[in-house]
Amino acid sequence: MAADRPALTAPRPELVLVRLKLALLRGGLRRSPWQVVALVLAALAGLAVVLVAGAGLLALRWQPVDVAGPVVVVVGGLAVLGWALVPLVAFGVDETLDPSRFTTFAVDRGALVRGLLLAGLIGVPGAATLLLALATVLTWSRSPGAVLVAVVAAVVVTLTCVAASRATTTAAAAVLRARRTRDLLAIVGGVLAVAAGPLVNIAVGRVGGGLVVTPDGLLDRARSVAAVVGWTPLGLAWAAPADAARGAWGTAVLRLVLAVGVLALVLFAWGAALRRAEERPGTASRSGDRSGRTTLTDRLVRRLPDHPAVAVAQRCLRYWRRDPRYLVSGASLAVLPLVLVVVPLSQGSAVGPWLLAGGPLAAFAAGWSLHNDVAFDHSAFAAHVVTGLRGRDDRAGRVLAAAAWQLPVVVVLCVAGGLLSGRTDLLPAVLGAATGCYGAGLGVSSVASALTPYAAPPPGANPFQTPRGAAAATLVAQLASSGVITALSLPVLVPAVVAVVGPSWVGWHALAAALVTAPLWTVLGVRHGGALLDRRLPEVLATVSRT
Amino acid sequence: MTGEAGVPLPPPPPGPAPALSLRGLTKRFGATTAVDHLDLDVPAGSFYGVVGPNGAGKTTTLSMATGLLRPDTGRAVVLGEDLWQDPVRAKRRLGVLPDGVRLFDRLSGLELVRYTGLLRGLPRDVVESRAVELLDALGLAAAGPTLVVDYSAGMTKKIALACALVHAPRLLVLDEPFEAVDPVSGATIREILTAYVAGGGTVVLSSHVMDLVERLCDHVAVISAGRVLAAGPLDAVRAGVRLEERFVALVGGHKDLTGSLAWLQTGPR
Repeated sequence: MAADRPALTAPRPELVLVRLKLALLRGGLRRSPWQVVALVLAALAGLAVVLVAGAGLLALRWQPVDVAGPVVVVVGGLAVLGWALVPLVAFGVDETLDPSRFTTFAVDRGALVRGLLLAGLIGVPGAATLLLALATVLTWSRSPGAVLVAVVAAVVVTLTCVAASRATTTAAAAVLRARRTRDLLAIVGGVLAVAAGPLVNIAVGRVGGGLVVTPDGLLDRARSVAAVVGWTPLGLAWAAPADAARGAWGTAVLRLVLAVGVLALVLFAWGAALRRAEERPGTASRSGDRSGRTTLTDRLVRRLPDHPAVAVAQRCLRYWRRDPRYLVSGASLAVLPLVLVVVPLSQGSAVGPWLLAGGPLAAFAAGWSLHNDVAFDHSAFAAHVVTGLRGRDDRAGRVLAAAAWQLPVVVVLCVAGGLLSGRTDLLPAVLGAATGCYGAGLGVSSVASALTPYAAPPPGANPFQTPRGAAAATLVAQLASSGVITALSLPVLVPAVVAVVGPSWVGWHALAAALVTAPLWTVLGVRHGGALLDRRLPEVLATVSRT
Repeated sequence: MTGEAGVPLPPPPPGPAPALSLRGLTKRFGATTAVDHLDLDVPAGSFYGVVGPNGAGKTTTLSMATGLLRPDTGRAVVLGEDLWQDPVRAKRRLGVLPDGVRLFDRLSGLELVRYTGLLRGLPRDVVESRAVELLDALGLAAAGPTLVVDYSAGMTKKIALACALVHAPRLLVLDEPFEAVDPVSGATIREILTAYVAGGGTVVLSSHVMDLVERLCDHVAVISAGRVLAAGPLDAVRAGVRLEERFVALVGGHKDLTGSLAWLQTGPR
């Protein structure tokens, strides 16, 4: 692309996008050594997955078709489902090429979608999926026809995976933007709960089968699941080569055609979601949302004395209600116990033990989820900087707001779990574990969000996207904060676990320990995190403004 | 200029202590030096305009003078308090309108001004009456219950100004306060600021609209490439010509465009 030579034929926009993605990737790597580290780590992890799973696929080459087929369909279907759903709850999607940036260019939307699709393949998850999909060609190298079908199916399924992740996140973001915030929690929670059902069902089908030691039982289960999944969008492409290997050419071609149709449908849905995002560009809910509503927690907070920390708490509570990013985070918290209910129900086995874990798990997730709270303020955090707000008041306000609604939820989950499982004798253990984890989480988060903030999606942006360049810092901050929370929770977790496996009266020790450690860790965290924030105000502001 | 270790900094001008005093402020971003040993004194009670071309370092300088950005070297003294030694004390009587930062825009306009007042530690009833009065003065009374995210750019600027004013600061630092503001609102803001200075307050504002600075300010500093090219009373700086002419002469870099960009006049191929 020499600048002085007039381009006779303009390069195809798809290729321009792919090149742009590579250039951005290169630029990011050159700018930050941490990104190199993250990429290497991710590549190693991806490589490990590819090698292990690839070896499995190769081994299936020498298994009968009615063994290899169901296994590939079930595992492959899970992979497609993972691509579609995991970005909604965790990680987000890599928005290096943010579609909204291209609205001012006269790029045809079809070309944009195709280009973004190809660019989406660049990266460890895309590459790993493509390699593993192609590894199924080895599994099906039983006749030339089967190989041909397998190659086509592998390409189709990989593209479907990438497109599905974009379509679900773009559509969910559009929904979040469009509706009144009051309704959003219900929507997100509902969608995730519905989505969690089949995912968990299949996962349990496999795990549960694995627990039944007989391999035949496992295989039977896989066969019955595959018989269904093979005709759903998740499994069509995976099942086609098995048909070909069996010599059922008609079925193979039918499934392949349907799989291509699925890909086209997903791409269409993505394009439609993109169009909606374009038509209402920028940010906010244009719902004319007025601020008159007050809630119980609002009224409680207002009773508290005049203090900057109380003001911060009140502001945070409003954000928990009005900002889609907080709503998503809150909804994920609500979904966690739901999953724990769905798992045993779908298994038809005892719900009890799982329900007991709901409260503590939710408490851990809730406390931990605050570890990057400042980043959600984005550059609006400047208001805290210029007003000379003390760090400890900033910390205390955020903790107060979160605890005001999370602590009741956690306690209700614990009590409900104990009652439903019929193990009220374990209530002290469960309550102790939950409040202990929550206190440790609040304390660690108060320090972490001052020490290791990392860029988060800016207000009004797609809450499911991961800002560029944040990957390594994100990973380190997330792993370290959850590790420290676990360590600080040991004084409550150890007696709680002893109570579950041994005499339940030990649970009282967990509760007693929690009553000491939870306030202690929270106060220490607020104080140290506050002092840290006082020293690092401009640096924290610079980090969280960087998107 | 000065400000290196061992080299004495220029003494502050005689007379009453300046409201804002910057000494040897320096900020580098990688290889580029955005602000280069910058010295500036803003006399108390003055209406001070900071002008400069794009990328001159105006925002960087004002950010370092208000606690938003840590300088590599140098000091910022706000109403006698060293900002980077004791930020909390120095920020107490300082009001800031930063440029290019978001607001807590999921709050309504009224809530946002209240919030800023409460962060400043003002009692709730004082905040309540001041917030209502400010919104009224700025013509935002009807928009009070609307979320700031739904405001226009000009309204957003005005609500940010209300936030900067709510604690009755003695020094106001405003980065581009008139950007995106319509003429009517601009007149309102000018009136508020002029009255504020008449009452003994000090205003520092940055702008690249020379006419506005010339009309409004009694002192002016011309900044380019992170240095002060000229500073002082307006008449001394403009030296008998219009500020814009003086500015272009000081900053330089005006290009003669005869003959270039011909393709722009012929339309697309």
